[in-house]
Amino acid sequence: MTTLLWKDYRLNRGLLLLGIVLLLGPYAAECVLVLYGRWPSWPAAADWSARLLDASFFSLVLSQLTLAVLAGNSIAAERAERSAEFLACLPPSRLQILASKLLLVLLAAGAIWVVHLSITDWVVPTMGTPVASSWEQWGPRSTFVAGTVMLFGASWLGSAVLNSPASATILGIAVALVGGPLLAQVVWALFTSGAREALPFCGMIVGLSVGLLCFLSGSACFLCRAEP
Amino acid sequence: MKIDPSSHVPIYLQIVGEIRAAIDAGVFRPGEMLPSLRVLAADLRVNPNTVQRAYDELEREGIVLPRRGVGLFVADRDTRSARGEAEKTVLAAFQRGVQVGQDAGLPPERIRAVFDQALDQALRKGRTRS
Amino acid sequence: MIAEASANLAIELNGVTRRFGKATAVDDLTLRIPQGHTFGLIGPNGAGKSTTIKLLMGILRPQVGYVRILGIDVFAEPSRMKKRVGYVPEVPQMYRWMRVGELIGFCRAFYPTWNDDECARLLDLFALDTGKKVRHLSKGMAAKLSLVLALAHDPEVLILDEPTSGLDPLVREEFLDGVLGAVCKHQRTVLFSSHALEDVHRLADTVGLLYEGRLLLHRGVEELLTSARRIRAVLRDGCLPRYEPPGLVWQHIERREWMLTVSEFTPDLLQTLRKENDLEHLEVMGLNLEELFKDFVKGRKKTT
Repeated sequence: MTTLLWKDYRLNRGLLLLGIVLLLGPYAAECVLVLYGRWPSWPAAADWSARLLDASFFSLVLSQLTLAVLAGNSIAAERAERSAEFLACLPPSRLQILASKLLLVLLAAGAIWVVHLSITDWVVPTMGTPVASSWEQWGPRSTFVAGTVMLFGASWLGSAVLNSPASATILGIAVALVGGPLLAQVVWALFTSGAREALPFCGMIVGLSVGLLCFLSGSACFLCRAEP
Repeated sequence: MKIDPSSHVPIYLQIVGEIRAAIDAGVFRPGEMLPSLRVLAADLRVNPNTVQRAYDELEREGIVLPRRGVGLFVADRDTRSARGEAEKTVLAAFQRGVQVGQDAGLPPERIRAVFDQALDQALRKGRTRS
Repeated sequence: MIAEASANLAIELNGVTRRFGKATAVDDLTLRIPQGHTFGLIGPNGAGKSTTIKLLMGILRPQVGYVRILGIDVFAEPSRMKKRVGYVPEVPQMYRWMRVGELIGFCRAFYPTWNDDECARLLDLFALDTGKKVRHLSKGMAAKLSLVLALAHDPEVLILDEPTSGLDPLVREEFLDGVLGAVCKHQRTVLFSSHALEDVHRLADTVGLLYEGRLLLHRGVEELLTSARRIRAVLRDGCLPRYEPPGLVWQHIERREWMLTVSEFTPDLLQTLRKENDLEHLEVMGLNLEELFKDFVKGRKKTT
């Protein structure tokens, strides 16, 4: 299993590197900006925390692209370069092969959220800035996570059925940016009383279900097929 | 030793022919051991079963003798000759018969048919060891 | 009961059919290869040889029939089967970004029977540099590496798909040496498809001729060469053949010349041929594998 994970890591090394840039780049950029803004004096804690919060938002949004590309790449890349056929003739089961790919994406997602949450929920509060209450934070966060699940699921499904990693990623982004919100609006219009507060909740439901459905279908496609 | 894989002659027969020729030419002397199955198969780049079949044929013809657990050894001239001489006599007799047939104006197929007839009769009478 | 009998067979395809849309690549194929056998699969391009091998390796699923290797159903327990089978595809698709050493380390993790000494011996024999990236290997080197990966885990069954196609004569010899080493191993079964009929004559115990997805013949190589013959007869003026011998593979009449190939030649057959037809001249010739292959296919083409 570790061997498979090593292989998947090496296959995606370039993308992971890009992911690190997208994850940490905004922080670096904001730091430079805040230093430049206050030069030659050292910026105050309030300046830092404001900038860091901004950066954390951009970092999280940009990292969604990383996840979409990783998911889109996961199955389709090996099929495109024909090494899927080589792997299919080796002993590991299709489940093991798929699990390794999934694990890599989950680890990347985990790393992204760990960095994000460390900044927003630990570093920034330590600097003294008051943080919004848990409920206020986790409401939009849950919707955001649901969006990520939808993005990942759609890219994953694309990767399983389409032939190019790029198409898979584009599918994922299209679903997350267009299809998902549209569906959420429809669900909100049809099933709720029309209260504004219900919309993000609809978004969350739609995101999670679409994402999960896509992920399961994509996985089933890969597992049930004999052809690499 | 060389074999031709594009020939219509099966490889095992080619090997038999090559070894027989080598023995006649003196390349292999009586009492000498033939190369082991694996070694010859690797040398000629053929399936070891083919070499086995060739060796079995040589043993059947009495050209080589087995020594248990060691290998196959070239039979000495007398042992080979006894078989070889008998075959030489038969060959001479046949050559005479063919000549008689040709003098009588028989085409080769008829001569062959007559030979088959004679052999069949002998087999039926049970005089020949098959 | 069936499983027991199957276990003595190294490879078993039973009534296997595989279609691609309207085209049938493999048509009701039944093939049984006992353990320890070396089997050569020959046939014209598009006959279904590669499809058959992919069905054996479980990367294609048949629409009808089942495939078993060493008694294991290839689709029910693919991992268990693959641990005991070595496979050399026609075009190796190994990870191009890996170095030879990394690739070996990668594959090694999946086989409990991996033999490091054997692997080292083969790498040495083929003069493969472990530091080189796979994408920088020549075609011959890649083919040899593919063979190393297939042999290093001491498989009970070795399957090769057109292993020497496109290789220069020197590399072909090296490759054959490697495969021969495998053939010599006790109870190891080898199945290989090839256009190089000379290789088939050298290596195979039995040969199978595939044409349009069907097995036209399945016989011992040496037995086939000993019992098949081409007969050249000259017909008497104005006469046509009245009697065709049994086991007729192919025939062709041009002017007075009647050429026929039979698969089971006996002197009796010749007698009967002569007796039942008006012939002026009769000649019997041996056939090599290539000529037999062509005649079997030509004979089949005429009937379809």
